Amino acid sequence: MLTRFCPNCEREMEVKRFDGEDYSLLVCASCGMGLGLAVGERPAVSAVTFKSSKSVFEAPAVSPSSVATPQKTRENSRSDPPASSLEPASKMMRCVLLVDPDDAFRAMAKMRILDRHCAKEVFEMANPGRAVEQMMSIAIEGSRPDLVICDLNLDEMSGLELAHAIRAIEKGLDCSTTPLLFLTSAPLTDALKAEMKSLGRVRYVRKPDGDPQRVSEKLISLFDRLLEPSKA
Amino acid sequence: MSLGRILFTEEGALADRVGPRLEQLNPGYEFLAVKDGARLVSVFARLAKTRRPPVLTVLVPPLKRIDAPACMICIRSIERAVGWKPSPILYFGDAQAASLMKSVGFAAHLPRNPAETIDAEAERLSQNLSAWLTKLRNA
Repeated sequence: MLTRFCPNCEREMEVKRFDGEDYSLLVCASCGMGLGLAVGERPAVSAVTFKSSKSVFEAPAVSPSSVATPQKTRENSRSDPPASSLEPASKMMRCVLLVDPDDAFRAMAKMRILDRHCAKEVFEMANPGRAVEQMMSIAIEGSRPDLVICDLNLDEMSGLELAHAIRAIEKGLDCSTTPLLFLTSAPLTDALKAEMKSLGRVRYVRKPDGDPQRVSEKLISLFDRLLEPSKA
Repeated sequence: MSLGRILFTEEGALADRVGPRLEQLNPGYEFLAVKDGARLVSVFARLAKTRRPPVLTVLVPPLKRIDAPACMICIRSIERAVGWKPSPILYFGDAQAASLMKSVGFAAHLPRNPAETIDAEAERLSQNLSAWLTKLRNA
């Protein structure tokens, strides 16, 4: 069983692993908080992959080789990332689209992604219209982003509407499906989960809320964990 | 030969009435009814790829998955991505989207009257569309 320290639950928790083409997302089995984006290593066993359109919320199988000792895991969860996490990942994403209305969060997230060599290019924007434009520009060239990270609460249109627009462009241009990672500060309702499920290849991560200082600290910690190269 | 394509996005039964009526009033256009916002974006993206802009897009809220105001934003975004000028949009609904229409440009608003029957609504919309198409053709 793979475990990680969850800052939200404030203890060592069992981890669910969702495997994408180029990376795996580690999520707390209890609260759903993202606990790491394992780039460059593929698990030996996988029940749920981004390639399938199966549910976000299904429990994945865990690689027997990916079991971390509690001591090691706790060390990795401290605020200072270990030196090895700054090494380039063996498989780097080409392009990530980041859509969030919070300027500070976007800047921090972009810096974290590039610093950890998780992606070659990060297109960040507050405006969902710009995201649709960027998506269209990429898709019309026959390509797609490796990952879209998107807040559910956006100006002008919701994160879900943006996700539907992305899927519609993919369908219209016969492109393959882009993995979507939603960031949300509010608990998800069943209806919202069902709508997310209908989009396929979707994950979500709870964004912490509270006083601004605490939030920014938690967000930094969240992104450190999301972008941490695999320790498995 | 078709004078161009009209995208009519609506979930109800208005399209079934407006299509034939518009064909009588202003023949020669290809009338394409789309059932929700996501399908409209999909069709619009495909048209953008094949470089065939619609002559007019009609949005009748509410629309599933992507509502009409978000559809307008998506249309403009797709147009920017392929380097098109804004194409005309007609918004047939309440006045809430009026401020958004100013920002998206080349969009008109036709208010909807909840007391009106669907046949009266279809007739009024068809007349307005016909007048607008004539205006666009002569512009």
